[in-house]
Amino acid sequence: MSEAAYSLKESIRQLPRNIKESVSRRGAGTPDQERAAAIFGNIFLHLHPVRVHVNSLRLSYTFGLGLISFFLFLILVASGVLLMFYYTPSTQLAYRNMKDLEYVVSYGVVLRNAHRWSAHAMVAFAFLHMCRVFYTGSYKAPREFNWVIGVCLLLVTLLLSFTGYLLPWDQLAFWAITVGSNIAAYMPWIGEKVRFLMLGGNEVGQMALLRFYVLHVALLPVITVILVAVHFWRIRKDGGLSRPLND
Amino acid sequence: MSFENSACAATLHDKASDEAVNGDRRDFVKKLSVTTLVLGVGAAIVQCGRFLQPNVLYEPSRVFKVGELSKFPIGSRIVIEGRGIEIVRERDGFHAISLVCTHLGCLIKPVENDPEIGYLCPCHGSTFAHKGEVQGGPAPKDLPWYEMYLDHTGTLVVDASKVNHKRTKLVV
Repeated sequence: MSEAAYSLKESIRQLPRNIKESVSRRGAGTPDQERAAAIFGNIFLHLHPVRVHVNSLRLSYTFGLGLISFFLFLILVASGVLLMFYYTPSTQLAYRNMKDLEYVVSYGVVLRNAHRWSAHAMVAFAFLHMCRVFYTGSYKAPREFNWVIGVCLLLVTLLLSFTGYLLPWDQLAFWAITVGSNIAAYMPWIGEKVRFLMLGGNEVGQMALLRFYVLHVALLPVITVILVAVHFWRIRKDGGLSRPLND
Repeated sequence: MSFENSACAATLHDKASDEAVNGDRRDFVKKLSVTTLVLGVGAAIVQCGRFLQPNVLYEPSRVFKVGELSKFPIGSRIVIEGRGIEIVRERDGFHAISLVCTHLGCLIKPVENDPEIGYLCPCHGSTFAHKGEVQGGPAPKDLPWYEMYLDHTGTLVVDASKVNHKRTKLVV
C-alpha cells in the first residue's frame, strides 16, 4: 500500500473541503485571493456589466419600470406556487377553494391579494415600460429586435392575466371568458375553430377551466421566463440601457 | 511522360466536374431535407392540433326537452333556465329564440311590455325586436330561432344544434 492510497478516515476528513471546492471550483488561496474570488464568483454582483454609463444609473431616465415588471413577475411566481397548494382546477371545487383561501387558509387572503394586485400591476408596469421605451426612442436600431421581444412579453403578460381571470370560477370570471373567447371567434375563417380549441368545447366549462389553468401555471410562465432571459441578454448585447448619446 | 500529363489533365477535369456534381447533389440533399423537415414538423403540428381537439364533449346535449304543452299558454314567453333560450307561444304557433347575444355571447334579458324592444343585452346594450331582429347596439346579427318539435309523448323538444333560418313557427 502506498502513501497515496485513499483511506476511509482520510476521505471523511477531506469531505468538507471537497464539498466546498465543488461549489467554489478552486482550492483554498491566500486571504487576499479568497476576498477577490468572493467578488469575482458572485453572480449577484455581476448582474450589471463591468462598466456602466453614468446615465444608465440615473433613475429618472428609466424609472426602473422594466425591473419593476420583472420583480412583480417574481412575486407572482412565488405567490402563485403557494396558491397552487390549495387550488383545484375543477368546476366543483375552484370557487370554494378560492373562498377557502380568503377565509380559512392562514395568510391565504394575503397571498391571493398579493397575486391579484401584482398581476394588475404587472400589466400596468409592462405598459408604462413600453411607453418609456417608446418616448426615449429606445426601440430604434440596434434595439429593434428587443422591442419585438418586448411586444411578445406584453402579449404573454396579457394572456397570463386573461387565463388567470377564469380560475376563481365566479360570475365575473365566467362571463369575462365567455366574452373573451367570443372576441377570438371573430377571427376570419379560423375564429370558431380557435374558440373551440381554446375552450376545449363549445362553452366555458370544465375543459376550459383545465386548459386555462395549465396555460396559466405551466406553459405561459415558461414562455415568459425564456423571453425575459432573451430580453435581458439582448439589453447587454445591444449596448446596455439606452441613454442620451451626448452626455 | 505524355501519359502522365494526360492523366493529370484528366484528374483536373474530373475535379471541376466533380465539384459541379457535388454542388448539384448538395443542393438536392438540402432541398430534400428541408422538404422532409417542413412536412414532418407540419404533420406534427397538425397532430398536436388533433390531440388538443376533444373528441368527446361532456356538455349538456344541444337537443333537450323543455316541457309539456300545457306549460306554455298562448301569449306566454318562458325562459328556459340554463339553456339560453326562450319559448314564445303566440296565437299562430311556437318558436324557440336564442338568448345568447350575437355580439359576444352574453345572456340577454327579455323586456316586458315594450312595443318595440323585445330583448336587451346587459353587457353592451344591444337591443332586439320581438322576433329577434337587431334594433340597436353592437350586435351584428339577429337572434337565431332554433328548430323545435313535439316528441311521441307530446313533450316539446328544442334542437339548438339546428337554426331555423326560415323562422317558421311550430303549429300544434
